[in-house]
Amino acid sequence: MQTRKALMATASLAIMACLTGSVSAQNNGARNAGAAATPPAANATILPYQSPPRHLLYIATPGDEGADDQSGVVVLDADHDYRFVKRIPYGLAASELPGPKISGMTSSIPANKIYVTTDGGSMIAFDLKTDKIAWTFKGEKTPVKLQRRGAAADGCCERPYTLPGGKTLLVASAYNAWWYLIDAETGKQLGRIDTPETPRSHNLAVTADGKLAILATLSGPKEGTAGVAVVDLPNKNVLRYIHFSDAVRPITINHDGSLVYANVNNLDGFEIGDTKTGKMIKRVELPGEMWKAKWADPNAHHFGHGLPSHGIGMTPDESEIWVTDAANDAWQVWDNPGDGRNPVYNPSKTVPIQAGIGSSWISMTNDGKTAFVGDGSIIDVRAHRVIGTMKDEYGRPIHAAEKVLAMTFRDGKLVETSNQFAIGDAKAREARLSHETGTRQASNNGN
Amino acid sequence: MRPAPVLTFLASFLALAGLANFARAQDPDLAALNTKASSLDAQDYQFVQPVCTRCHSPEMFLHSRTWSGWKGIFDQMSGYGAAATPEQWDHVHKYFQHSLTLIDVNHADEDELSAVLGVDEKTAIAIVQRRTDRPFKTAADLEAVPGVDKERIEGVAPRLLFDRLPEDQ
Repeated sequence: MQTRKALMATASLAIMACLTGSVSAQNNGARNAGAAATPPAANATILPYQSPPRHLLYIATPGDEGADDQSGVVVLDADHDYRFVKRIPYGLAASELPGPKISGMTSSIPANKIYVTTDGGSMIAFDLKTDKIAWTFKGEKTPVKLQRRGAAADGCCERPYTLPGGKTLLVASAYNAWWYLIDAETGKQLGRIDTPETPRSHNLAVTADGKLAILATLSGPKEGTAGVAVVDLPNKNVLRYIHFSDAVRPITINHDGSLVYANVNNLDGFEIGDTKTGKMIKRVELPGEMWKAKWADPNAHHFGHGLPSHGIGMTPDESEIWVTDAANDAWQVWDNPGDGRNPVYNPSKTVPIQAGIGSSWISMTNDGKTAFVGDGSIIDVRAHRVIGTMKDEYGRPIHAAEKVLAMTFRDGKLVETSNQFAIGDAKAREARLSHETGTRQASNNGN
Repeated sequence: MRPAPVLTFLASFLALAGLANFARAQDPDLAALNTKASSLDAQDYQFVQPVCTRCHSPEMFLHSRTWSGWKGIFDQMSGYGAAATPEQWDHVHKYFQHSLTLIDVNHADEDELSAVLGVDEKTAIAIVQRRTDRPFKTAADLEAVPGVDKERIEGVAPRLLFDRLPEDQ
């Protein structure tokens, strides 16, 4: 009996020692370090296991000039110096390669797909899990009036845009006076928006809340048309049109779509339209001595799309507006202070590019750190320096790389995507303004 | 009915387990590791402890990795249940970036340069601009960039890399 009591006492002591030791082991780091540790918050969430993110760059080819000797969607690894990963083919016979030029590219996170539009009269969806064609959308069943050389008779398709939520695509017809709404999962047409006063649908941008779409036409005053239609997207209703000085080319918008910045023909620079009043409020030119004589010289050849500036975008925080400058083979940068109505040219931020190629588009990563431009250059946005070149599996630079998406994957699933258009973002802008305010206050306080 | 052998076995097992835990709590090596880990950045280490050392000895992380390598580890640990508030994660990240991150000077972006080298954004941009013209080859090259703190660079010199990192980093 005494033996049993002794054993029981030993067991109890051992249990106590074990528990004490266990508690000590969990806290010993704090105690040994001689500092009071902050315990994890009671409401801290435990995240499910995730594989590391993979950052890939998708480039839809052939490019706009059609002479880049490329076909398919080229995928590069942004985590490893943009090295080549693979080429997703369009499933064309050899005799059909390289295929029609690509007019636009977008993606959908919930559908896990990318979409390319072509001058060949189709919009093609690729499943990102299999890299196979999921569906193909064709335009009209009866031939439409051709509004531009090379346009398809079925009226499909120019630039696409994925609406917020990722379930619906808004797609320009091939230079006709309407826009398609397409189901991102199935490719079925959900609706159509008619824009009779901007009859050659081409570029577009949509606000993050999905309420406003700015739909641009490849026409202008010479054809007696407006430049962009401001559309109430939920009601598919044109609110107003904005006229610019010449035909509108690439555009970008600020965070709430209240301002549209548009390249127009015959201008090295851009014009700004106020979407609330429907007025063009400012014309912003590169200093005349830098481009007017060059552009007027009949013996000079300028690479691009037949105008001095075919390419415009803004950093997500809206602090800078980037505009391509074919006359000087460069990207020019305007600082964009205040309400964004008075950009200031900043020559110290000019980014020279390779001459004789043309750099006619700009896309950016969502964090605004990296830009991808039409000549295939990869640019560090804050440093205003070219840091790399998009290259294919043969090491050839991918010129005319105008349809680019920077996308993040986890476990093979798309979790984040950029947009073909570099537009303003409310959160990034707010963070910048908050930072600037804090810096000013610190400065005023003598810190 | 003779419970004594069972109780004897149970008592022995628990006693051994208890002693092992107790010994771990009093382990002078562990204390030394904590002191070493704290000496790198005592303030931020306070936040590392409840997140990391509640399960692991500092020995597990007192070595250098690239920032993407550390982010992968944090992701993995989150999956295993490591929990922290956003503020705690900020401090944990700062601790690792400041003290335990290898930096590829000729390829890292401005944010990583700022965090690891302790420079402001303007200086980080100047570093990127300089390296696009001429890649850095030595710590002395880096110290020549206006705004770079020489003492700090000397402190992080063993973690500065001027060539491409190996794939497994």
